[in-house]
Amino acid sequence: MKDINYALMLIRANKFDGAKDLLKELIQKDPGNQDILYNLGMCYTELDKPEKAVETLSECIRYYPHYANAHVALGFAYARLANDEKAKDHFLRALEIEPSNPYALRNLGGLYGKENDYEKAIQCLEKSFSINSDDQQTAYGLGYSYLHSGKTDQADQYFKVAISLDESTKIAGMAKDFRREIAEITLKEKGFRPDAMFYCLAALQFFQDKTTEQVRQVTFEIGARGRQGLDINNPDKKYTLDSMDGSFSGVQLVSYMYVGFEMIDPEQDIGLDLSEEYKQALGLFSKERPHGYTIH
Amino acid sequence: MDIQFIDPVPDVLEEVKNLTGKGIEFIQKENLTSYAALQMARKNMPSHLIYYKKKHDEIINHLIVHECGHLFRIFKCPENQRLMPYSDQQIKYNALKAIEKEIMALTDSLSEDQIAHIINLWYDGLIRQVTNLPPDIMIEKWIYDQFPTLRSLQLESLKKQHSESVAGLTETVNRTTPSTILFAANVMNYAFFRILGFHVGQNFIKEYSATSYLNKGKELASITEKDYEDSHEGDNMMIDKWAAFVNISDWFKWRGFEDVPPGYGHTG
Repeated sequence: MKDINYALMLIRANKFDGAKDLLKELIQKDPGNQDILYNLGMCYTELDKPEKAVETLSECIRYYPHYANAHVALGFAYARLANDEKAKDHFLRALEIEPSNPYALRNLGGLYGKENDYEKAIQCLEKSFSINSDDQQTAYGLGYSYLHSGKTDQADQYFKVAISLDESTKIAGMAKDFRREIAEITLKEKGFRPDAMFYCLAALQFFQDKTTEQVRQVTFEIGARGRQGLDINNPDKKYTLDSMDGSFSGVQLVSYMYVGFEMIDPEQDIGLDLSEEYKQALGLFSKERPHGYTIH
Repeated sequence: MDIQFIDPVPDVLEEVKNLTGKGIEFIQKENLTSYAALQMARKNMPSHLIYYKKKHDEIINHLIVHECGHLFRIFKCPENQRLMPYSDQQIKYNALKAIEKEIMALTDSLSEDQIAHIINLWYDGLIRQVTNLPPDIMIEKWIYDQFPTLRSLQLESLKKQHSESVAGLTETVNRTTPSTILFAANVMNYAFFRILGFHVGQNFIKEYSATSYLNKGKELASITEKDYEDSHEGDNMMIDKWAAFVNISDWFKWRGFEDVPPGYGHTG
């Protein structure tokens, strides 16, 4: 006998096609079953068949008009069809039925974000996150919304949370990219950074007697570390590397990375503009070369 | 190949080919824990692989049919609904972290080096048990019912497995195994041997009669007999039920049958 629990196992293992086939069989035997219709609709959405999802989930809410999660899922399917108006209607309907439904709040927040209404987006997402603090998408959505509201500190915090919830996902990768962007914004918002210039100078001296491979090792290790996030506003926060002795501040490392890429692959876009600081450091480097000094 | 097949093994091997579209390649391998082990063919593999020890006896015929039983069950399921349990370093770390206190409590009996050495054996052994014993019950029942000529070898094989299992009841094992693992292993062994013993007409459970695993073991056996759907899907749902029953649901996950790591099926 076929069992919906097996369909749920398939869904948990991301085998949506198999789950869809099984649920279609089950719905033949038990038409109008709430759980089967809901999960079948979700499978269609995951399989990128939003029209079928809308059809199935609409049937579900015809039978069960007060099923909040089905309204959320239907709203999500409409959003996939770029019908944001209907999507919003269903998210709002879900919240009428269940005012603290975290998925309705998350998706509604996402829609407000799409409309550039970040204030409302943040309200919804903060409420959702207070109920469901393990949800990576919500943390990411909050990071994104705060970033577009110009609140980079909060954005960075939420991107950090999103990464820590599951580092293996695509969302975590996107959050890491945004953290790098934030680092650049923060680095440059005060204009020319003399500290970065001196660190670039130190990097030029450090790298001058190194082989290309050694420069590459240091540069790539900092790049990888940067994807985890480097605090460039706190000089007391120190980092260590396998490829270079000592402990270093965040701004020190990004300066070394910038110089490293200038030496091994100047065309590489590292998402960080220290060109002025580097230019000034190069000028100083040629003057100071006979003596040399190191800043740590 | 130097295995002397007895009836009905050649017919069973033929049926494997008919059902799965692939034959079985036999490969001699010495570092096996049993006489034979199966690697099921995925799409990119030309055949299923059965590894066997050069030194073996007639029991190998029972083991081969048993492994074919696994193949029949999984290949009768629609391809996109086949699931396999798996674990990785993160899942293992989380599982062992949850019983950290139990593990540390063993430092009275074992050194930290000894614990570090056997920790993987505990974990891998328990995962193998929970993910194999439920389908093994159904396969052994099938062998007993369908192949009377194999019954004596089957009994020999089960007795061998039984003697290894009751070793888990000794005081030494009790003193040197985390309680979560010991409890789960013995309760599952009890349920397995209770069901199969009744089926093949043997008392495999007398060693458990004065142990604390009896009641929970009986309960698990009862759930198993009542709820088992005889198919690959039923196997997987029963595995999940067993894992929940012995509190190790988070110790493994499921993925698609074809979603195997790169390198799977390399015979080297």
